[in-house]
Amino acid sequence: MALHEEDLKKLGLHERPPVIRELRSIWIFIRSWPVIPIVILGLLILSGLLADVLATQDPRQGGIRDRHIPPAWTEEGTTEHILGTDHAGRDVFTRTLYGARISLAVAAAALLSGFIIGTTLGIVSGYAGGWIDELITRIVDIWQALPFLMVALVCVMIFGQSTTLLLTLMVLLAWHPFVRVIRSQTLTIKNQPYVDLARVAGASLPRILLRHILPGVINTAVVIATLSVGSLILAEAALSFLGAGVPAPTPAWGIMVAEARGYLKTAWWPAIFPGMSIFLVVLSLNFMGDWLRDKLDPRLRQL
Amino acid sequence: MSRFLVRRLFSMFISIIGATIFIFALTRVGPDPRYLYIPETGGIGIQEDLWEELGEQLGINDPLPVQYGKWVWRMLQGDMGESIGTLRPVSSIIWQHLPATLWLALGAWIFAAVVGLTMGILASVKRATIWDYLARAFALVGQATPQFFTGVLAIMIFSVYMGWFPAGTRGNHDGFFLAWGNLKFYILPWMVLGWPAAAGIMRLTRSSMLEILDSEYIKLARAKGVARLPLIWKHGLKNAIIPPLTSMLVLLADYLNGALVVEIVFSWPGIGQVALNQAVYDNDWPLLVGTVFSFIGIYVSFAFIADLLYAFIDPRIRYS
Repeated sequence: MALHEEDLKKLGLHERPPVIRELRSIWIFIRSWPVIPIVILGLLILSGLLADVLATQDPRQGGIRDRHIPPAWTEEGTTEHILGTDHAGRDVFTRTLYGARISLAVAAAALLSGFIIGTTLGIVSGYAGGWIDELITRIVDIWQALPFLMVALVCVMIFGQSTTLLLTLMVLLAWHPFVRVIRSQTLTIKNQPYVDLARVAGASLPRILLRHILPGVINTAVVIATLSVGSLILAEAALSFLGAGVPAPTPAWGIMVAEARGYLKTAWWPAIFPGMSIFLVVLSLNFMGDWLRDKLDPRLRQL
Repeated sequence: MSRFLVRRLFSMFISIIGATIFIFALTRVGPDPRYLYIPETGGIGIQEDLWEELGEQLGINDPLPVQYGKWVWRMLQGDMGESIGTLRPVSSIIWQHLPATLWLALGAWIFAAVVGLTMGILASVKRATIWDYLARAFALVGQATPQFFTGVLAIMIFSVYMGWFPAGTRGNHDGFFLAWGNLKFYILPWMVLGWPAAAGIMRLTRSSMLEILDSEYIKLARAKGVARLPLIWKHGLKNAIIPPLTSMLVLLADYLNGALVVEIVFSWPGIGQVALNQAVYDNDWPLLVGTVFSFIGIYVSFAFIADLLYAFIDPRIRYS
C-alpha cells in the first residue's frame, strides 16, 4: 500500500481532487492524439461539404450598398453578415465556407493523383533500375529546377484560366516528393530474400510489385502524403492569389485575400478570415503529418 | 574534386536542357503563338502578308528541333527578343529589374540563416524550456502561413496601423545604401520572404543538434570535463550544422516562388513583378519567357554553388 502511494506521488497524482485527475487524463489524451487538429480539420471539411446548407448568402452576389459592412460583433455590424462583407458587398462568411470546398477539393484531388503517380514511378524506378531509373530520376531533377509558380503563369497564359488547368498544375506539383524516397525504399526491399523467393517461386512482375514491394513502401507514402498536403494547399492559395487558380467569381481563399489587399485601410475582415482559414488548415495538417510520421515511420524524421 | 565538379556541371547542363525543352514545348503546344500577339485572325484588321511575316519572324515555319536550337542559341547570346508591350529588348528589362530581386532574395536568405540557426541552437540547448516552445511556435506558424497572407498582415499591422515601415515599393535609393531611408523599405519584405525558410532551418538545426548532443562522443567530452560552451560550439555545432547548411541552399526553389509572391504583395520592382504585372496582364509573350528563363538561371546557378559549398564543407560528398 505504501508503495502504491509512493508511485502516485511520483506520477504527480498524489492526493489530488478527482477533477484534476480527470483533467490530467484528458490532457494526456490530447497530447497523445492530435485531437485539436482533427477537430479543426473536421470542422473545415464539414463546412466545405455543407456549404450549401450553412451559407447565409449567395457567395457570388453582392450589392454595392452592402460593401464593407464590418463583422457582427462590431458596432456597425449586422447579424445578417456574421463576418462582414467585402468590397463588392459579398458575404465573407459564405465565401469562406465555399473557399474551404475549393481549397480542400483541389488539394485532395491533387494529392490522390500525385500519390498514385509518384508512388508508382518510385517503385518502378527503384525496381527496374538501369536506364528507366536514370530517366525517372532525371525528370524529377529537372522538374524540381523549374520555378513552379512561373511555369503555372506560363500555362495559364497559354491555355487560359480553368479549373482543369489548376488541377493539372497541382498534380504536376504533387507527384515529385514521392519518387525519391519511395525509390530508395524500394531499392532496399528489392534485395530482401522474400522478394527473391517470390521471383523463384514464379510470381509475375505485377504480383511482385503489388504484393511484395507495395506493402513495404505504403506507410512511407502515406506519411509523405500527409506531410506534403499542407504545402499543396499553400500552393493552391498562392496560385489563386496570383490570379492563376480557379476563375474569378468562384470564391477561393487566395482570391479573397488578393481582392481585399487593396482595401486594407478601410476593411481588414475580408483579408483576415480567408487568410486565417488557410493558416488553420495547413497548421492542422502539418500537426497531423508530424504525428502520423512518428507513428508510422519514425525513420523519416529528417523530412 | 575535379571529377566531382565535372559531374555536377554535367548534371546542371542536363537540368538546363530539360527545363528549356519543357518551356519550349509549352510555348508550342498552345495555340499558334501569333494568337498571343493578335487576338483573332483578321480580328483587328491585320493583313495576310503581315500575318505571314510575323510567322517568319517567330520562326514557326521551321521543324521543331531547329526552332528549339535557334531559340536556345539566341537565349544563350542574351537575345531574348523584344517585349511587345514596351518595344524594349527583354534582356534590358530583366537586367534593370534583376538587382531588386537579388537584393530581396539575398537579404531574406541572410535573415533566414541567422534567425533559423540561432533559434535552432537555442531550442536544442535549452530543450523543453520556454525558448524551445517559442522557437517551435515560430517555425509552425511560419510554415503554415501563406506568404501573401503574412505580407498582407505585416502591411496591415506595421504600415497601416503602426506606420513604422512603408507599405511597399523599393524607395528611391538616395544616398548611402544602408541609410534608414533606404533600409526601411527592405525590412518587411525580407522578413516575410525569410520566415518560412527560417522555420525550416530552425527545425533542421534543432533536430540535428539534439541528435549530436545525445551522441556518445559528446557524453565522453562531458565526462572528460569539457566546459559547456566549447562543448556546444566546438563539438556540437560543428557537426550539427551540415544538414541545415545544405537545406538552406536547397530551400532556394521554394524561395524563388516566394519571391514572386512577396514582390507582388509589396509592389517590389523585381523580375516577378515584371512577369506578372507586365508580361501576364499584357500578354507579353517574349517578356514572360525571358523572366521564366532568368528564374531558372538563378535557381540552377545557386544550386550549383550550393553543391560546391556542400562538398567543400563535407568532404564525404565528393567521393560518394
